[in-house]
Amino acid sequence: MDIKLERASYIYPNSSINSYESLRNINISIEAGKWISVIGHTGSGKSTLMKLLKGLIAPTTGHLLINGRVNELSKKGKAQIISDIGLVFQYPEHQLFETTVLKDLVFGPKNQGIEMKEVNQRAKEMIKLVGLSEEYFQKAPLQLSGGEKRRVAIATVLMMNPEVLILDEPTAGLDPLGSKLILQLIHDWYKAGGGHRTVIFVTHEMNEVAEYSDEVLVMNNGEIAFLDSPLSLFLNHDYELKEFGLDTPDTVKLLQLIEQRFGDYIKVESLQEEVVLREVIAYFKKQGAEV
Amino acid sequence: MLSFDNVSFAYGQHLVLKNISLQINKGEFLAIVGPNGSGKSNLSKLANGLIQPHLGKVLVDGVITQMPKSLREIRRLVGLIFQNPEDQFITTTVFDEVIFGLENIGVDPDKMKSIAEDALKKVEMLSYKGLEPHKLSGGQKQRVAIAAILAMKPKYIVFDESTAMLDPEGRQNIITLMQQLHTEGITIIHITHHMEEVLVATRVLVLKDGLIVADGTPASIFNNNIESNELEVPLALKLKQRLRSTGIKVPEQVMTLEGVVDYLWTSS
Ligand SMILES: Nc1ncnc2c1ncn2[C@@H]1O[C@H](COP(=O)(O)OP(=O)(O)OP(=O)(O)O)[C@@H](O)[C@H]1O
Ligand SMILES: Nc1ncnc2c1ncn2[C@@H]1O[C@H](COP(=O)(O)OP(=O)(O)OP(=O)(O)O)[C@@H](O)[C@H]1O
Ligand SMILES: [Mg+2]
Ligand SMILES: [Mg+2]
Repeated sequence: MDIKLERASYIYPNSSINSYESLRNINISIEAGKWISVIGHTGSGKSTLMKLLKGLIAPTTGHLLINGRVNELSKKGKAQIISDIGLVFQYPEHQLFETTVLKDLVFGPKNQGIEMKEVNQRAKEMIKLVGLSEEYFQKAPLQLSGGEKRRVAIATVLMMNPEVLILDEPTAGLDPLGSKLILQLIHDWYKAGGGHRTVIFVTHEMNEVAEYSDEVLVMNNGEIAFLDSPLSLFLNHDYELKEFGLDTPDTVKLLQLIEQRFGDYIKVESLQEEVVLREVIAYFKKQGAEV
Repeated sequence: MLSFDNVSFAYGQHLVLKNISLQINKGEFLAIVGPNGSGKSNLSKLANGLIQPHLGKVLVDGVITQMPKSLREIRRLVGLIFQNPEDQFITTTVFDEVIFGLENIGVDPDKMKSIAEDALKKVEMLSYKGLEPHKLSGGQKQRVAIAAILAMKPKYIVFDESTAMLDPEGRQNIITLMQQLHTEGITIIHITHHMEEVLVATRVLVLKDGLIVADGTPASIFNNNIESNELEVPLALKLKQRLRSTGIKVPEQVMTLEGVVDYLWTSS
C-alpha cells in the first residue's frame, strides 16, 4: 500500500490555543515495503500525524491518498478509517477496553465478519507471536504490567492482518529485553511480508532508529524537517537534530569521539551497533599493531 | 530516612515484593532498575502510603505509613510521580492540576498561584496552563505530572519512569532538574530502564522478581550486574568488553564512551 499526504495541515477542533496548527504543510509519500522511523521533540506532531495516516482524523486542509486515491470524507464529513493500516497507540490503555485479553483480541476481526473459528486460531498465533501464552487469554488487560499491556495491544492490531503497521512509541517503558523482543517480532512480521509490508515506528530512542530504519522522518514544530536515511541524517545533520531537542545514536557519538581524538574518520556502511563495533575494534587493533 | 523493614506485598497469591529491607538516607540520589514486573512501581507506592505492606512496615522520617492519621503528613514528605501520568490527572486544566495538590496539603491560598507557576516554569509548561491535561502530547503530560509534585516541595521525590516518553533534550532536562533538586537537599529516587541515566546517582538498586538482587555504586552495578539482571548494556560497556578481550585493558572504572576513547588516546 502506498500512502501519501499532500499539503496536509491539522488543527484540533477543540484546541484552546486559537487555531493552533499541530501539523503544517505535510507532504510525504510512503511506499510499500519501507521501515520508516519517526522522531521529533515532545509535541512536534508525531502522534497527530499517525492518527492522520490511519484516517482517524481528517486533514484540516490537504489530502490523504491511499494507492493514489484521495481518502474521501464520509457523508457526515468525518474521516474514513483505513482498515488495512494498523495503529498501536502511544498509551496501550487507549485500545484495551474489554474485560479479557481474548475478547480484546477477537473484537476487531469479529466485527469484520471473519469466521469465529478462524479468529480464534489467529488469536492463538498472535498471543504467541508477541511472546505471551494462551494463559493470558482470560486475564484482565488493565491488570497486566506495562510491558504486557504493550504486547497485547500490538497483538490486537496484528489480528486485523494489516499491510501497514504504525507503532507510536511501542518501546517506551519496556525493559531492555522486552524492547528487543518487541522490535524483533515487528521485524519478523515485516520480513514475512516479502517486501509488501510497511512499518512506521515512532520513537525517542535514537539507537532503535539506527538499528532498524530504511528512512527517518524528523518532525519539528508540526512540520517535516528531514526525510533521510539514518546514515546520512545522523552524520550530516547532527547539529540540527540537537537544535530540535533530539540526539544522535551512541554509534555516531563513538565515531565522532574517535574522529576528534585521533583525527581519523572510520567509514561504516551502517550505524547498526554490530557494524560500528566491528569497524572500531578493527581500527584499534590496527592502531595497536602499528605502535 | 525512608525505611522498609521486612516488607512484603502481594496481589492475591502473587507475591510482588518479598521481604524487602531497605534504608534510603536523606540526601541520597537512588536509582532503581530492573525488568518489567519486578516490583519497582509497587515499591514506590509503598513509600508514600498509597498501598500498605501486607507484612512488615514502611517508615518515613520515623512515621509509620500504616497510620491513617499520618498519611497526609507522609504524602507531603514523599512526592510520587506516577509512571502513567494519566493516572495522576483529576482536574480539567494544567494549572488546576498543580493547584489541586497544593490544596490537599493545605498551602496558603494566597501563595498557590505563584508556587504553581514556578513549578510549571521549571518543566517549561507554563504556556500550557489553561489546556486540558488529557489533550496534551505524551511528553507534555509527563512534564505536567512532574510539576504537580514539584510544587508540593516534598523532601523525597520518586520519579517512576518519568523520562520514558520524553525526547532526548527533555530527558536531559529532567536529569539536570533531579541533580539540582538533589543539591538543594531533596532525596531523589529515580526508576528507569536507561542505564546511562543511573550514572548520576549516588546509589543503584536492582530489583528482580520482588527481591533486591544488587545494591551499590553505579560503577559496581555497571561492571558486575548488568547482563545477569537483564539490564541494558550500554555501548560503552560493550566496547570496553570487546577491547579487553582483544587484549586492550580498558580499566574497570571507565564507564562512558568519552572515557574509553580518552583512555585509548592517552595509552596509545
Ligand atoms: N486532543 C488534542 N486536543 C488539542 N490539542 C492537542 C490534542 N492532542 C495533541 N494536541 C496538541 O498538538 C500538538 C502535537 O501533539 P502530538 O501528540 O501529535 O505530539 P507528539 O509529537 O506525539 O509528542 P510526544 O512525543 O510528547 O508524544 C501538541 O502541541 C499538543 O499539545
Ligand atoms: N492491580 C494489580 N493487580 C494484580 N497484579 C498487579 C497489579 N498491579 C501490578 N501487578 C503485578 O505486580 C507485579 C509488579 O508490578 P510493578 O508495577 O510493581 O512492576 P514494575 O517493576 O514497576 O514494572 P514496569 O517496569 O513494567 O513498570 C507485576 O507482575 C504485575 O503484573
Ligand atoms: Mg506522541
Ligand atoms: Mg513500573
